[in-house]
Amino acid sequence: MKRVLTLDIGSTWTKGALVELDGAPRCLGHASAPTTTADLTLGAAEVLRRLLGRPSTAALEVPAEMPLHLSSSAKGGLAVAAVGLVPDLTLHAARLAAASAGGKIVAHFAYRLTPENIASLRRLAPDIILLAGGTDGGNEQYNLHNARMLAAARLPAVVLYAGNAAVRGAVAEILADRELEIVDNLMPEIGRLAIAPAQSRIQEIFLRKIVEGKGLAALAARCASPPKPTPRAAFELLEAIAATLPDWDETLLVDIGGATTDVYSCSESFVGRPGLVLRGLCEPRLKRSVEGDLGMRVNARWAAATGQAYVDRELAGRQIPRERFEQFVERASAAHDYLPRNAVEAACDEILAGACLYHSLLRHAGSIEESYTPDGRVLVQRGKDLRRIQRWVGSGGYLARRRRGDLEHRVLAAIRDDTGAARLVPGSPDYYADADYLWPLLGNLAADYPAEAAQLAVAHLVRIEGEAATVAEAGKRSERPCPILGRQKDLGTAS
Amino acid sequence: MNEPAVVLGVIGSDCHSVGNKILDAFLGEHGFRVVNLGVMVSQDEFIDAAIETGAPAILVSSLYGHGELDCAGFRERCIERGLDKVILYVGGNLVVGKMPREVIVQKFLAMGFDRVFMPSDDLEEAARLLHADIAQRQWRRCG
Repeated sequence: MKRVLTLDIGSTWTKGALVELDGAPRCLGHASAPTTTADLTLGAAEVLRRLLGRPSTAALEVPAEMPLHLSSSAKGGLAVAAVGLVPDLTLHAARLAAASAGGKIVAHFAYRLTPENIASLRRLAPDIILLAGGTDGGNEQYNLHNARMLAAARLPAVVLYAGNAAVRGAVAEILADRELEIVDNLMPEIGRLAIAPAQSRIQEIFLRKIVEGKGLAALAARCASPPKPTPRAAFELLEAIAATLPDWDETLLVDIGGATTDVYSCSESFVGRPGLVLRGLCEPRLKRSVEGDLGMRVNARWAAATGQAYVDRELAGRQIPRERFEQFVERASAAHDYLPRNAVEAACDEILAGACLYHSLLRHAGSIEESYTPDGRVLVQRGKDLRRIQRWVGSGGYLARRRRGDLEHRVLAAIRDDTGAARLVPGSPDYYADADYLWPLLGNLAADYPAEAAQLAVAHLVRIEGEAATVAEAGKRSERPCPILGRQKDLGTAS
Repeated sequence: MNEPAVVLGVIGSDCHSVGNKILDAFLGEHGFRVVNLGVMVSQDEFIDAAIETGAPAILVSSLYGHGELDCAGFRERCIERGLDKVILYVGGNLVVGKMPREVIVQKFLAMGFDRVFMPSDDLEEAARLLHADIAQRQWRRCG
């Protein structure tokens, strides 16, 4: 009987599941406990004891026959600063690489680093500074300047150089007494993305630095596979689902947390046809974007400010006075576990979630515009086309608890209306909720057991639509393998 | 990697791609590393590519007659974005209708382009001029 344990240490909650992989894979149980920031192993041990049915006094032990798989976003996760040359080219590539490796992008800078940029790097204290810029054989001065700025700044971060290969040696010399890693250029030619080497090196650095530095070493030693940043686990799950379930090869995963909104998309970025031209980068099939200014609690004020136009329209539509909304936003940003106290606050919460959705999708999705040429009408696409996506999964915090898909539906419609269908957002996908909070946990298993992890992840989704919840696969759901973890209040655990 | 990079593309809403492909192949055979952006390229896309690749020259094609509109302000934009020494060539059917060659050339030189080419011009000659201009510019930079 093959059983595995999977654990995700979030910033406020540590969650775990016991999964049986033989035959038809099942989730035998799941549990959660508050994350113990001072010593992360304590909270993890508590979850393991609950999963294994041991008394709370028992010592932490992982049975030899049950491999343990781990992800973590505790203590700020994996904080990355991206430095590139041109915003639409190497900086964009650097952000894609950092986000797909599971990093939280705390800052990004284009062209020359200034003393002000260095000051904010000092304040934000990223774990990794990803330094990109220039195609191979291309621009040199900017990288050399930025390397010199970083050398002089003497920041504690690891510098990962993924820029113009021609100046690797010079960059290594400039940063000789700093912690420096060098990988292949993430944009060797204009328009060609090669983010995989940077992406896998970021994960190696996560293992080496973060796992030890943030008190995960004792747990990592007991793991059957290398621990990963939580967002990377979700990324790998989406990859496994697309690879093993033909019906689910075009999927969107959205996670609105207390601090950030994450959007993962798995779909063909550009499908060419006569009269349609792609400008700019061809984005990867699997893409993650993290919006650091769109969150439901810590960043509620930012989300409200960014989404002001959306918020105003919703408030007017629902006849909620602006002061009530502002009051709610103040309360929500002050307490990370704040829950709405009445119907008006619940409506405000939903408006805030809508603003996060609206802007995160607007930024994740590409655009299309008409251009008239002497040869007739041509459509110009920029960025990623999400229109063919048929499945939408809400995970984490707010969306996992929802049993109606009307908000998602309205937000998509609003984006189409506001942009005259110029934003390439999904049309009318089927909506699902990761009601059991199982997705990141199953993501930990996706690299080793892709088919089983994918099958379980989809089986545990709740299909939601219109006004009421219906059940995804009625037969399977009637004998629910696990109860819903409905008591959780951890809006802030996204990443 | 020692061949100089040149950024090539067709500007504006122009989607004539045949000449672009010919130029790409021709310049590649004549000692240039061609960064071809294809058709319907904006001024900023030319400049972005020149910055990232460190190309000393940008070659702008326009075949549909709106070249003057599309190219207006190109030199200023290069300077604005830090490419103050970039070599700018423009060529193609640059204006609608018949206009004396000298008038067209003057018009585009005045806009800040270094050289202006007509469809009938000799490509071998253009490649020779481009090598010479790049060599001179690099000599200037070193000196």
